[in-house]
Order: sequence, then C-alpha cells, then structure tokens
Amino acid sequence: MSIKFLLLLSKQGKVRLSKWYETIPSATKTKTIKELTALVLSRRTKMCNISEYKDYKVVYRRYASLFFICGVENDVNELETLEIIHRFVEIIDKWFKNVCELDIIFNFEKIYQILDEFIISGVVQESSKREVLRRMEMMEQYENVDQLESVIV
Amino acid sequence: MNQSTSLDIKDRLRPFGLSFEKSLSDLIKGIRSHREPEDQLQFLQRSIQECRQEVKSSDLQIKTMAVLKLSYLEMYGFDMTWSNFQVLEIMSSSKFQQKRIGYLSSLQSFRNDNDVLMLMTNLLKKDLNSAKVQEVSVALSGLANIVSTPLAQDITEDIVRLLKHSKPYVRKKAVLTMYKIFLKYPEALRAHLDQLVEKLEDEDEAVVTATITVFCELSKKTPTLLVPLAPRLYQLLQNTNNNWMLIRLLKLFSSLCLIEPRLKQKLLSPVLQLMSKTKASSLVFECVNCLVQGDMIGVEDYEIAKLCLEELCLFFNNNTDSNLKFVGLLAFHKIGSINCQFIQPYSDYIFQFLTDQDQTIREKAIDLIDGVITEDNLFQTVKTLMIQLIPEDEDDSGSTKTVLTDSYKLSVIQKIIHVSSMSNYANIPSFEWYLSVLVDLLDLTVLNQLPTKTIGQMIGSQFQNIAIRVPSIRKEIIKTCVTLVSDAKYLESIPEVLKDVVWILGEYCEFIANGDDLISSILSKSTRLYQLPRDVLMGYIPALVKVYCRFVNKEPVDVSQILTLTDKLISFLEPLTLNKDFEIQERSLEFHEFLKLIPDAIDQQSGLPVLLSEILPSFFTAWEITPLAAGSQQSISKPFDLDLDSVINADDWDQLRDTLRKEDEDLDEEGDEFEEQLFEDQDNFHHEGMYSDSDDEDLGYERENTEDNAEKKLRRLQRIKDDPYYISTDSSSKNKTKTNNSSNKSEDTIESKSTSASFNIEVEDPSPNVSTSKTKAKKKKTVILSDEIIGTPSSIHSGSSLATTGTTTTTTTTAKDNNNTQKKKKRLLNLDSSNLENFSMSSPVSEQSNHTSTSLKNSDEISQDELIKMQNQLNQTSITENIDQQNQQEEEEVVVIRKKKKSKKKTNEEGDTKEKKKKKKAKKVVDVSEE
Repeated sequence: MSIKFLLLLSKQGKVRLSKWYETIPSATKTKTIKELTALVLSRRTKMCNISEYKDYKVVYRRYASLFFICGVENDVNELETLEIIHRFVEIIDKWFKNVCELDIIFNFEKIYQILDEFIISGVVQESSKREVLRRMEMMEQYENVDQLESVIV
Repeated sequence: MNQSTSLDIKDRLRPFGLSFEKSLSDLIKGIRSHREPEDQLQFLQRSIQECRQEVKSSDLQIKTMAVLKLSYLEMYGFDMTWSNFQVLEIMSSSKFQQKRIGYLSSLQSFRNDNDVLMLMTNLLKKDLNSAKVQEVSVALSGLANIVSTPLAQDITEDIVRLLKHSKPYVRKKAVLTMYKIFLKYPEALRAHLDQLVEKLEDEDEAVVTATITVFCELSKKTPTLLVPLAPRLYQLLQNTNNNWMLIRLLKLFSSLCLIEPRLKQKLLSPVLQLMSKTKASSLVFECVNCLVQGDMIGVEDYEIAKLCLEELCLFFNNNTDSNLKFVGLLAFHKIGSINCQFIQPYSDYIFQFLTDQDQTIREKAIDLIDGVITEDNLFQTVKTLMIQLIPEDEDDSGSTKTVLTDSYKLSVIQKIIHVSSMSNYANIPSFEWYLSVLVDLLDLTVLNQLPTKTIGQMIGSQFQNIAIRVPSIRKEIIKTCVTLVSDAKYLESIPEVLKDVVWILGEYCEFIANGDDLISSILSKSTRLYQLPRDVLMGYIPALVKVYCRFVNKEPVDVSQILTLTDKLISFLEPLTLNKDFEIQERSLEFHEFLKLIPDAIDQQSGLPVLLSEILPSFFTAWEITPLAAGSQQSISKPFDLDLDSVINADDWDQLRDTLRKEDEDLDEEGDEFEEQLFEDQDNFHHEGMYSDSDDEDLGYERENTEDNAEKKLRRLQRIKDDPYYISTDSSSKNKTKTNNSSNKSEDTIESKSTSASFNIEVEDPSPNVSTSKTKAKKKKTVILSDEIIGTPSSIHSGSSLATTGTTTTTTTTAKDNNNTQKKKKRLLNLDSSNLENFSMSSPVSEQSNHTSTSLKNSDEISQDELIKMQNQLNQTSITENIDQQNQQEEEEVVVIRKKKKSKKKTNEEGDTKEKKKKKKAKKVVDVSEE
C-alpha cells in the first residue's frame, strides 16, 4: 500500500474529498486532516511539494484553488507520486471538461468513482487516462440503461 | 389533506423525476448559503435529522439519496456508522446506480464492523459472480477497501476465479485485490501464489503491471518467496518501456537483491543503462534508489556512485524545480550514508542549498553537511549558517524573504555545534574563533527568542568540553566566562548556560587573579541567583568556594580581606542551607559549616590557617580532570561491600518519603546525575551522525589566528565597550605568553574604558614556568585531549568506542569485530522474523521455510504433482538459506575492512594523546562536594 490516503483541500481548508487506503480511527483522520491543512496551507508556492509528516511523507500539489494531498510511505518515489496526482487531475479534468472546484463539490460521488478506477488499495491500477475514462463511461452507460429500464417497467 | 394522502401523491409523482426531499445539490447549496459557522452547524444538524428519517423510508430511491447525503456529510466529520445496515440494503439493490452509491458509502462507513461485514459476504459473492462486468468491478473496488480476515477467507476462491476472467479489466482488478487478501489472510499466499505468478505472462500489459505491483508490495514483506521469479522479472525489465512498470520492477528488484546477492551483478549494468537513457526524472530517481536500496553500491564503488551523483546533479542544474532539488538531496543523503567521500566532490551544491529560498531544502542540505565538512570549509559553513540566524529587520518582513521557523533555527544551532565538535574538534581552525562563535550563538538565541533551555545546556557543555580538552584555550575561556557570568543579560535570559560557565570558573580558577572581585560581583546579584534552576544554582556553590580557595591561598595574605570575603560567602550560603532541594541543601550546608570555622581559625594563629592552606585546597586539587569515554563509569567495579538496596533507618523511611512527595513534586532526579550528565554530554560530542569519520586526522592542528578572527574580536569588543555590565579581562603582563598578540591590543582599549568600573577581574597564568614550557610545546599544534577508556573495551558501549582513541589495541578491535558481526547477524534474523510475522500470522508453525510441511498436514489428499512441487519449493528455500549465509559472510568481511581502517587511525592518534590513569578521573569528574 504505497498511498496511505488522498485528500482534496480547498484554499480555505475545506475538505473536498478524503480517501483512506488503510483502516484508521476517525479521530486520527480528523487530526491528520487538521494538521495537514495547517501544514500545506502554510507553505509557499515556491517551496517544494514534499514534506515529512510523522513517520511518513506528504506529497501535495496545488491546482487552482485546490490542494491534492497524498500521504505516502517513506520508500515511495516522490516524483512518481507527483505524477500520480497530476494524472488524476488530468483525468477528472477530461471527465468534467475543464473541471472546477464546484464540479468536484457537486459531483463528489463521481470523483470517488473515478478515483476507484484509477487507484485501488493505494496503488495505481490503470496508468492510461483513456482507459480510466472508458471504464467510467461504461459504468455510466450501465447506470443509465438501468434507470431507463426502471422507468419503462 | 392528511399526512398519508400527501405521501401517497408524492410517491405517485416520483417516477416522473419529481422529488420532494432535499437532493444532494440542495444540501450542498444549503451548506454553502449558511456561511456563519453557527448557522451552518445548525443547518448540518437539521439535515442529518432529515437523513435519519429518510434512511428509514421504504423507497430505495429515497434511502439511496439519504445515504449519499450522509456520505457527503461524513466529510464534515459526522459519523455515519449507525446507517451501516441501510447502506447494506442499498448495496444489494438490483439497480446499478443505487448499488454503486451503496458501495461508495460502505467505503466511508464500514470500519472493521464485523457484523456488517459478515452480512456482506453473500452479497459480495453474488456481485463477484455477476455476469455484468460493471457489478464485478464495483464489488472488487469495494472489497479492496474493506476486506477483513474472515471476509478474505470466504471470498478468496471467488477472486482467484476472477484472475482467469475473460476481460483484462476484471483480471487487473482481481490481481490487485489479491494483495489485500494476502495481507489479511496470508494462508492464501500458500495456495494461490502460483495463480498470481501466471499473470506475469498475461497478454494484457496492464494486468502484468498490476501483478508486478502486487509482487512489489509483497517483496517488502516476504522477498524470499519471490526470488525464483527473478529471471522472468529481469526479462520484463529489459523489454518494457512503460515507466510505471519499470519503477515497480526496480523497487521489486531492490528488495530481492538484499536476499539474493547474485542479482546485484546481473542488474547493475541494465539499471545504469536505464538511468542514463531515460528522460523521466522519476525513473532516474528510482534507479538511484534501486542501486542504493539494493545495496549495489559498495563502500569502494566510487565509479558507480559518481555516475549516480552526476545524474542527480542534472536535477540541480537544469531547472529550478524545488521538488527535484529535494529528492536530489534525499538521494545524496542515501549515497553519502554509504561513504561520505562519495559526495565530497559535490560539496558546492550542498553549500549552495544552505541558502535556498525553501526552508525544506535547507533542512535537507543541513543534514548533509556532516559528510562534506572539512577543516577548510568549516569556517565558511558556520558563517553561512550563523548569518541565517540574524533576525531580519522589521521593514523587510513584507518582502519575499523566507520565513524560518524556530525549529529550523534550533537545528541550525545544533548543526553548527555538531559539525564543529565532530571527530573531537578536528576541523576547528582556531579555538578562539570557536569560542566567539559560541558566544555569538548565545546572543542569537536570545535575540531570536528560541527555547533557551536546551541551547543553553548545549552551549554550556561545549564550553566545558573545550575547557577540559584544550588546555591552551583555558585562559581565553576563563575570560569569556567572566564576561558571561558578570553580564546580567545572560543571567536573565539564558541562565542554563551558566551552570557550566561557573563550573569552568571554579575548576580553572588558577587563571583568575582577583577572585575576591569575581565573587563579589557574582554575589551582588544573589537575589536573582536564588531563583535560578536548581542544577544551575547547584553549580554555583562549589564553584564559588573553589574561587575562594584559590584566592585566599595567594600571596600576600590579607587577613581582613579574607574575612570579609568569608562573610560574604557565608551570608550567601546561609539561606540555601534550608533549601528544599537536597542537593543544594547538602552542598551549601557542607561549605557553610566549613566556612564558619574560618574566622576562629584566623583569630587563633597568625598567617594563613591550615584549614585554608591545606585542607580546603585538598578538596579540589587532588586530580586533574580529563575527558572520559562514555560508559567508562560502568566498567568501574562496584565495591563488594556496597549495599544500595537495604533501607537505612527503616522507621522514618515512609515518613520521609511522604514529606518528599508532598514538598517537591517537580524536582526530579536530574541533579543526582551530575556526573552522568557529564558523560552524556561527552557522548553527544561523539555522536557521529550518519557518517563514520573515515578521514585520518591528526589530533593536533595548526593554530591559525586568522584575520577574520581578529576582526571578529574587535567587533565584539566594540559592542561590549558600551555595556555597563561588562567586566574587562586583563592578562597580567608579567606572565604573558606569546599567544595573545591580538588580545593585548584590545585589552588596552578596554582598560582605559573600564577605569570607571569598580573592579577588574584579572586573568593570569598560574604557574609561569610550567606554562611557558607547555606553550612552547604547543605553539604549533593545539592539543585536544580525547576520551580515555577504562576497563575492558568489550564492556564499553560500542558507539562511543568508535569515536575514541586511546587504549584500544588490535586485539580489542577484533573483539569488537565479533561483536559487530554478531549484531549484524542478529539484525538479519530479525528482519526475517518480522517478515514472517507479516506473512503467516495465522499459521501455527509460522515459518516460511516450513510452509510446505504445514500444508502437508493440512491437506489430506495430495496429488503426486503437488508433492513434487513442494519438494522443489523446499529445495529453493534451502538454497536461499545458503545464500543468506553467504551474504552474512560477505558482510562480515566488510566489517573487518572497516575496522582495520579504524584501528590504523587509532594507532596514529595514540602518539598524540596523553594517557592518564583511569581511576583518577572517574573520581575527579564527580563533583567536589562528594569527596
């Protein structure tokens, strides 16, 4: 499990998404989120995107008003993690066609679903953007067909 | 219209897309419109109440909406575990949309809740075996998140079946889910590893990558199992150009190399090739990591290290990306840990990053200094670091200057002290300079309002250390100490440093000509002294008496002066005899009683009474203090008749203990360990950080009075000039040595200024004859005493013995070799056992190499094929065991080589070190009052 968790924080420190790949008590989660918010927001734009936190590392990247934060184990390649974050952003950008923070807020369940297609149990399952989007498309179609059926029946 | 009919109408309208409950976007909009925190909280609570109602609805659609809203609210920190059963209901819905939301919420809310998970098993089984790819996929994603041991047990077979699914998309997910199953249910590894290995041959690249990812994660826990796969993995490494896969492969190989050393040779050239070929910096970084982690760079492999470092330098050169700088420095650190000589040619980069805009990068660079510090760059480095500590002007605060945190500043100070004191102060260009650095650090600490306690102690022990180790600097130190102790600034702001400062004044009081003035000056602030931390105050008591002792024994004897001074001391000690701290009480009581005898003794006879001329000095001057190796105390055997366990005066014991507890709960055991602390301090100086000092250094160093030094001094003097608290230091010209050309000049200026001051503390050379001969001998080289070792070396803590010189002989080093290898072996074993733990938690025999036999027991019907396979496996494990042994042997050799170097160095140093009898010091370091 190389990625421990992925957080999306707004510039104001609001949680937009939190995905945990290990089972930890919710008190710890809340504490971690709080501390990371302080840590990440206090860093300046020119500073590097890697920081040590407790006994692991935090890799984050800012896109517009959103911070994408990954908690990773120590032996993880930091540059690769940055690439993973970037790839994830690219995917949701493609999916929503020019994504903005509101998209993420109002479609939070979709973001989780996309994330599930991209990362599974803390590791990248599919490195191809197109493949991830294709799978999402497939799911959506099935969902719609399902709905249609229910109306017709 | 009554309630029931309105519900009825709503229900009938719903199929047309009309909904009367808050939708998710209503909820979000609501949250956004309630901006005031209190308002918002109310709104949120109201919404949760609504959800509680809606969740109970019989309409699945309403239920789903409510659960979705709850999952959203979960991000605001609201618990939703109470809705677990409803979530389960939705998950089993026949509609995919609802199922999907159910699975999503389950990830947020199920936390090892065994009841729910048990109910979930059947549902999962159904979905995993569904004909719809989508349903299988959702179930797999869900399972990967919430698998528990019993669930894993039940579900393994289904996942294994999916490994052969016709769609690569499902196969890939199944492979990754297997990893989670292995984690929770290691037994599965035994039965199904082979099925997973087959996936390395899968026609779809994504499946292969997924398989490698799983192996990569597994290799961190049980690398031995995967060694047989090496040939296939090697093939993949050479054929693929998928960077994601390459990174995983490299990680996997670095784990495998550790247990299969033959792989190193094979891998070295392809990895190096890959590193030079690729353009992706993440891959370059991974290659370096692989080489380091896989132990492919030996201590002597300068060429390979250079190749890596050159690649990393491109990170630094080609762009200004601070992430690249950061990881580059991380990799530097790893390579430097192998042998710090590797990174020495690149020291320029490291020094350049000391002033980087980004504090994180500075921190990393500071970590690296240890490895590249030399005699030549210490001065510049310390200067660079010191400048950072100077607070910015107020006007600049708005600019883009980096704001440094206190913890960073603290680490800078620690680092300055650490690099300076490294390898027994070998790199210090001049101790006068170092002394001024320490004083400046004190001032900077106060200026920056850093936590004074630790820094004060740290700097204090530096003073003490160089005072003990460097005889030629003692006079300078005494001057500095007089300044520090007389300056009310330090007493107020950073009293912790004074503990060692007064100790030095007491110990080396032979340099102080007019001790009475010093004592009066110290005692004039006695009200403040009483408020000092206990261990600082404790130091004052014997120190003052030492100075007093020295003073009264000076020619010519002035009885009246002695009497007034005695009075002063007595009145200072008086209140302390009732102090509630035992140590302070005892020390002060001892001297108080003793001093009270003096007036009578003086009355009775003319001249100096024996009490002062003989008895008092005998308290202090029996032995000279020398540095001791850490742990030496343990090697002093305990007197056989010493009984520390039986209670003295058992009747009063309980009462005493109660009183103690009541009276001072905050006073801890600190003080009793005065001497231990001393050892600890010394230990700190020899704390070697990440690098072993492999340079062979002489103990003596040329003393250079650099221009900078003189300049610095002048500057300091200028600053001091206007300080009303300053007491000038004045060396008596008759005993002057050749060392103080520069200080003479400055002293003149002060003397004229200080006429208005009420007194001067004179610093003098105690015994001119001896000292001149000494200075002659030391003119060129500053002698730095190194630790002495007591008793049998084996009993000494190995960490300290590395840094020390002295009595160790070749035989002892070999003894240590054995120790070391034993340690190595132990560690290797440890590693293995911890892996085993991870691997087979639930198996009773819990041994990897035995796993064939356990499965033998478990299964009743074993086919012939399986038997053969198991035999093979057994053979493999025994092979790897052999390899392990080889590995250990190799390691042993390396250790021996390193040790040899050490011992060579030791013999070099031996010539320069002064040898002292051991017991002497042990006694002396113990504070005087105990004698």
